[in-house]
Amino acid sequence: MKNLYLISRQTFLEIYQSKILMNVLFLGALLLFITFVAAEFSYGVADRIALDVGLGCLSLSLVGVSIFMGASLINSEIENRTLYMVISRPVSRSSFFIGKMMGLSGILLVNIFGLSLFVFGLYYMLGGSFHYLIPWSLAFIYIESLLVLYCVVFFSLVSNTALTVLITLSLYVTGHAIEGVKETGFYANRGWVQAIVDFYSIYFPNLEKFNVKTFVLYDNILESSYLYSSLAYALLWIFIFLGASLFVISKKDFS
Amino acid sequence: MIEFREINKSFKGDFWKEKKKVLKDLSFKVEPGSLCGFLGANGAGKTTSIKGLLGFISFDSGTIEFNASMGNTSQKIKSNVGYFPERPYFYPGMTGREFAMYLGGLQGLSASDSREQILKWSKRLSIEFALDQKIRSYSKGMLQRLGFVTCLIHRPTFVVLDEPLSGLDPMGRKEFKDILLELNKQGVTIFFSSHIVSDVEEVSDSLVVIKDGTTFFSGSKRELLRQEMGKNVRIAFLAERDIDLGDAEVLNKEGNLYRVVVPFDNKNILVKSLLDQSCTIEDLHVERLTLEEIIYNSRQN
Repeated sequence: MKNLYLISRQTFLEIYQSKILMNVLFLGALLLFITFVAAEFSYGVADRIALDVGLGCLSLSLVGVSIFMGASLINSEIENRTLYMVISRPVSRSSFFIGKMMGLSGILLVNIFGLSLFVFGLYYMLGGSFHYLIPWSLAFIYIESLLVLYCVVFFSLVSNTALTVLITLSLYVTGHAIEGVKETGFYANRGWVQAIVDFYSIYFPNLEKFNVKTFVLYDNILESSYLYSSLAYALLWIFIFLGASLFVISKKDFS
Repeated sequence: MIEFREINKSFKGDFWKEKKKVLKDLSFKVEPGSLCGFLGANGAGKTTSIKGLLGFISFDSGTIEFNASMGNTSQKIKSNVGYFPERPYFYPGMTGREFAMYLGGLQGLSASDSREQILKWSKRLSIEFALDQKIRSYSKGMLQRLGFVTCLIHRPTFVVLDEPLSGLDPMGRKEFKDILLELNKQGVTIFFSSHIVSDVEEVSDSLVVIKDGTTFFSGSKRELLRQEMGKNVRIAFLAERDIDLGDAEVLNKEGNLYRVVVPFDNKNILVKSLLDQSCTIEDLHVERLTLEEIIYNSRQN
C-alpha cells in the first residue's frame, strides 16, 4: 500500500509540474467567452447555455487529458527507462501500474473539480437551479474519462503512441455515435448494418450510456436503476481494461 | 550468492526477421562476499544478463538461483539488491533528495532512515551540495554519483552495477573504486560490468568473461592470470654479430641490443646457445600479461 501511495504521489506531482492543469484556466476563460456570446443570441436561457457548454467542456477536457497524458503514462517510463529504477526495488509490476493510474486519476479529479467551479459558478450566477442529475453528470464525466484512460493505457502497452491515440479517439467517437446510428434509416433498412452496429454495442464500450446532459438541461427524470446500471457498466469496462493491462505488463520484456 | 544456469535468450527485432540469440547456455557463479567483474565486449550480452537478473526481461530457458540468505521471494530478494544502471534514468523534475527519498521509500525505509543514509552517502560521494537542485541540471558525473547513492541507501547485501565508472573523471573513478573495495570489505557482494578491463583488474577478485553470449571464463582473477603467466620468457642480450636464435621471436633490435621472446620450455636452450655464441645476457624475465592482454589475445584466437 505504501508503494502504491508513493508511486501515485510521484505521478501526480510529475504531471502537475507539466502544467497540464492550466487547461482549467484556459477552458474556464473560453467558457465565459462562449457563454457571453451565446447568451446574446438566446433570450432567457443563458444558464442552460452555460451548463450545456460547460458540461461539454468538462467532458472534452477530461477525455483530452486522459488520452494525451495516458498514451505516454507508461510508455515514457519504459522509453526513458525510469521504470528500471522502480521495478529493481521490491515493487511489483502491478503495483507500479496501479500506482501510475491512481496518480493520473488524481489529476483528472483535480481537473474536474477546478473546471466544475467555473461551470457551476457561472450557471448559478446566471440563475440556474440545482437538479439532482448534476452530480450524476459530473460522476459520469469523471468515470467516462477513467474508462478512456484505462483504454488508452492498455493500447499504449501493445502499440506505439500515435496508433494508441488514434485507436482511442476512434473508440471514443464511435462510442458516442453508435446510439445515434441506430436511429437512422440507414441502420433500420439494412440487416448487415444492424448486425455490425449491434455487435459493436455489445462488445465495445458504448459511451453514450454516460451522457445524461440532455436530461440535465431539460429537467428530465432518469430512473435510478438506469444510473446505477450505467455506473456498473463503466466499472465493468474499467476492470476489463485493467485486467488486460495487468496481464500484458506482467509478461512484457522491458528491454 | 547467485548462479546463472544455462541461460538462453533471443530477441526478435523485426516481424520478418529471425530471432537473434543473445545469450547461449550462459552459466556462471558469483560467490558470496566477492567483488566480481563482469567483462565482455560491446554486444556480448552483459546488460541483457543483468536485466534478466533483475527481472526486467524473462529468459527463454535456464534459471538464476539466489542464495537462501537473500530471501525466497522476488520482492525479498530485491530488497537486498542495490542496482546502478548503465545510464542514469531519473526524473528530471525532481531534486536529487526527492528522488533518493522516493526510492528509499519504495525500498521500505522510513523517512528518517532514508534521510540519514542519503546524507551519509551523498557526503561520501561528494554530491551533497547538489541534492536540492533539480536533476535536469545535473552533469553526467553528478547523475552517476546520485545513482550510486540511491543504490546504497538501503544497505544492500548484493550490489549490481552496470558500467559504473563510465563518464567519470579520474578522481571520480578513484573514489568509486575505493567505495567498491570498502563495501566489499564489509561483506557486500559486488557484481559490476565493464568493458574497461583495467578497472576490473584493479578492484575485482573474481571474473566472469562472456563472449558472444556464452561464458568465456568464470573464476578467480588470480587463477586466470596464473594460467596465462609464465608461458613465455623475454630475454634482452648484446650480440656483436648475427646469431642463431632458433625459434625465438625478435621483438626489437637497437644497435647490438636484441630483445626476444621464447616459449618458457625452450628458455634454457636459447640461453645456452646465446652464451655459446659469446652474447651478454642483459635481462631475463618471465612474461606477465595484463588482464587486458589476456582478454585481447584470447579474442584474437
